[in-house]
Amino acid sequence: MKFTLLLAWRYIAHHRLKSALLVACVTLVFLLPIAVSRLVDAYGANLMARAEATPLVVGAPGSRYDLVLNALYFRGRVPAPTSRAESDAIAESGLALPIPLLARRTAGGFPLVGTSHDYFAFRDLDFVAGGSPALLGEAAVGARAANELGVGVGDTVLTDEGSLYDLTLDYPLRLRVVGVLRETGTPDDLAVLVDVKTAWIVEGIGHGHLAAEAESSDRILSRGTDEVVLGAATFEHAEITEENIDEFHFHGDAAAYPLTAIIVVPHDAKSATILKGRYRVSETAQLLATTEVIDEILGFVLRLKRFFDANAVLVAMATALFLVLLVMLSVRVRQREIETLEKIGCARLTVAKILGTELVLVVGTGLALSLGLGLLAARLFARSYGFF
Amino acid sequence: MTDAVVSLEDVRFRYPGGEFELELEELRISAGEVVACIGPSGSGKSTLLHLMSGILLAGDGRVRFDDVEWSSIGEAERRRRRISRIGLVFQEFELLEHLSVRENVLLPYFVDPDLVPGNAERERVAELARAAGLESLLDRRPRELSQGERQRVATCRALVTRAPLILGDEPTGNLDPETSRRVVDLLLSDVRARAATLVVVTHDHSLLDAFDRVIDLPRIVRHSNRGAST
Repeated sequence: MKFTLLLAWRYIAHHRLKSALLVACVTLVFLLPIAVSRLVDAYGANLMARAEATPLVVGAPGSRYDLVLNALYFRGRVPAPTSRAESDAIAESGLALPIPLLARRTAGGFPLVGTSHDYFAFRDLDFVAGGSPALLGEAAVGARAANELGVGVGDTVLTDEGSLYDLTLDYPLRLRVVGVLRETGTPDDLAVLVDVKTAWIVEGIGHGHLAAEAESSDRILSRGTDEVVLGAATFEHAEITEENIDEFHFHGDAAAYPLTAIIVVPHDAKSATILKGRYRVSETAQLLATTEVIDEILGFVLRLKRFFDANAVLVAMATALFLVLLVMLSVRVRQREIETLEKIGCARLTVAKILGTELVLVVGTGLALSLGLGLLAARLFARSYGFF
Repeated sequence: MTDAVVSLEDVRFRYPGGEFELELEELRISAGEVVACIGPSGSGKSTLLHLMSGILLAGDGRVRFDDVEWSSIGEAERRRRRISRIGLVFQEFELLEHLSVRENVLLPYFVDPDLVPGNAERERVAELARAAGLESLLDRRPRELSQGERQRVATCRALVTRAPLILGDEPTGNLDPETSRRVVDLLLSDVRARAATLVVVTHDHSLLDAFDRVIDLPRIVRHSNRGAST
């Protein structure tokens, strides 16, 4: 076996270019199916793990997929908003702990997630520096977001505008980083987490400016007995500080403030069942078991993967036929060499072993490369899309 | 038992589908004999060597090597006997281009599981390389060698297993006279030192004085050839 391997290796090394081309051919054929398979597996495992860690989600009626994906990953299409009243109702029911989520904006290019202090405990999030945001304008930044933004505790992050040319949008708010999360391999690594009230301020529901009494008269449009109407030129604070925090306030019905989703943490199985029953008949909100929705999504993905697998099998078969043809041609080209071996007394089986070993080395190297590169590509792709 | 290493009796051979037919009444080559076979192209010289070495099997008659009739044993056994007990030198050298000179010489050991190259075999390669003037070329590839050097490598490959029978199929056919003499001297010195048997078919009459016996093939072989080559 040792000498069979030696003879095979010598032939491969002598015909470097031909061997390299064959290895490249095999690598390219298997690279994509392996990468896709690995990516789909990682995607499925990741989705399911996140879903299992977040069993129930409440949101407005509409797309179940948008709601669950936004609640779990803070990405994708933004679902129709539900209201703070829904969260309050869950809390008042005594059946579960509601954790509000508002994830419609971004800061520094990363999802800006307004939530409550309970979120950090629920996700078991740990800090490498600082702690969770307690005051308006404070933010905790996910590990990878902090790394990519180059920020740490004491730095600031600006919220992003939807469009540079849309003058009706609110001004960016400068958030103070008070905590950097330890990397968890979850979407929290790529998020900027703030208190939900801060998120409402970012959305323009709350704002901060000088008291009407302190504003200059040219910015006051009218003054009634109960209200003062300020003009658009009124200066709004772009950062919440100790000095101006008391000047921030909210307008409108607090119960109607928007949330994109509410994570529901039932106190026990019975509470969960009661809640599911209640929401089954609700017309204003839907309660979703995230694992069921993720199962549906994965079912669709797996159907696509099966189609892709079938295609990969066909390509692999075509490659195998191509290799057979190549071996046949190679045997013809090497007929004289083979005859010499046979004339000096080399057994046919030994000749076949030498040729077979050459093929195994080339195909094996191609497969190993496609496996390595496929896994690497899947990992890079997954990381760039926030799947781990 | 006979005292002949190789013997052919009443042999008749025809290539499948071919026109060439060889008939030979009797030829016996004794142990330790150094024999040259001469004859014009197409007289069946190569066919005769292939019959002696069991590469080809006679349709009729008996071809014996080491008292065993080639046709009485199977293909695997014929190959096993050939690789361990017969050394072959070809006109076109037939070296493997992807192996070094040393590896080409050791090739019989690489392709036969029963032959394991140890220190004695490495010493044998060194000894043959010294005798063939190839010491400094052992790590080179065949393409880096001259024609004469290549044939000396092929000769060393045939001699390396210390086979009792060495067959040369026009080993000097592609060489100049001086190089031809060197290759034949290499063969003869090793074969005589070991009292082995050597059969060489050749066109080169200037080399015949070095052989114990010269067989003029047309005298002992009847053949008909209506176009096929040997």
